[in-house]
Amino acid sequence: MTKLLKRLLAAATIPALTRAACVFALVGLVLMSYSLFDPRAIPVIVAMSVGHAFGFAAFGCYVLAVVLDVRRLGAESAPRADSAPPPRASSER
Amino acid sequence: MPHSWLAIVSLVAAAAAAAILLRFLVRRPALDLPNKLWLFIGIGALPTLSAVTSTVSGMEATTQREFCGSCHVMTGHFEDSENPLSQSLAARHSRNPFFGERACYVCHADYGMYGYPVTKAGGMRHVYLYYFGGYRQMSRAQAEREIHLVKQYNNLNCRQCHTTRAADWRRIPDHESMRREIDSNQVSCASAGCHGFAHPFSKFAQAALPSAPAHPKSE
Repeated sequence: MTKLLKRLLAAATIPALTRAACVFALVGLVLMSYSLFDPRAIPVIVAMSVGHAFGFAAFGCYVLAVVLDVRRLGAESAPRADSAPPPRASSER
Repeated sequence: MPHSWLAIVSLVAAAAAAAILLRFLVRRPALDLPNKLWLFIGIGALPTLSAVTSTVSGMEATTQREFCGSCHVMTGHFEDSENPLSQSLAARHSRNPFFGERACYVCHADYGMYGYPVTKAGGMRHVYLYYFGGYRQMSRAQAEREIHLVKQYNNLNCRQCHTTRAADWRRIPDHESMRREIDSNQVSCASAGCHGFAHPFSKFAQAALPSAPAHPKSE
């Protein structure tokens, strides 16, 4: 299970995650809105369970995408070893 | 059409979130800070508002008489409560504006400390029995014969409104003489010898059975 999660995380790209977040959120919103037009038992239960689950999944994907993006930006802005400034000459003798 | 202001807030929030999300899906802009914030609004803030308001609105919808009558096994109960000529306890209470559209819920809710979740869990049990317990396959007549309350109706629910301490109540000799039995639910307010059944047509259907079922289904 952990291996599968790691492979999924390795394969997940930031654009794919944000698109998935958008799609999940849209599905959740449709389910929740449908229950307002047809307030019978199954639509209401589905809205409060499956609809909310899609919403949480969407937010999870979004947070993961932001975290990956921040890490990527951090890695890009980190100083490289070959571009490091030369050490100062010591004045003490 | 949804008519409560909560439902309208929910729909407006959902529509605004959907507009943001669709724009992002179609245009696919870079994930810079402004777009991250727009996405946060579209995926986090607005859907949360929509979820909260639709949940409250949905919970409110489950207390409506029409919701209870949306399962066909409850059609008889629903029609009786709607009937302006019916003199059953259910119909008379449904005509009372204090109960009105929420008559089923007001009379059948649990008024204990954890009453709300207990009532909702009971409702979930009804849904389970409807879809997986055979109620869905029952005819209306069969349902009226075979579906019973899972436990005796609690007089405490009647006493939420009809106090047993007022002089008007106490001046009835039967009330005073049976106070202990009424308090302990040994005698139901809604029984044949007292104020009559709440849903008498179902009792007639049950009485018409040649013999009571060995294991009556319970609602």
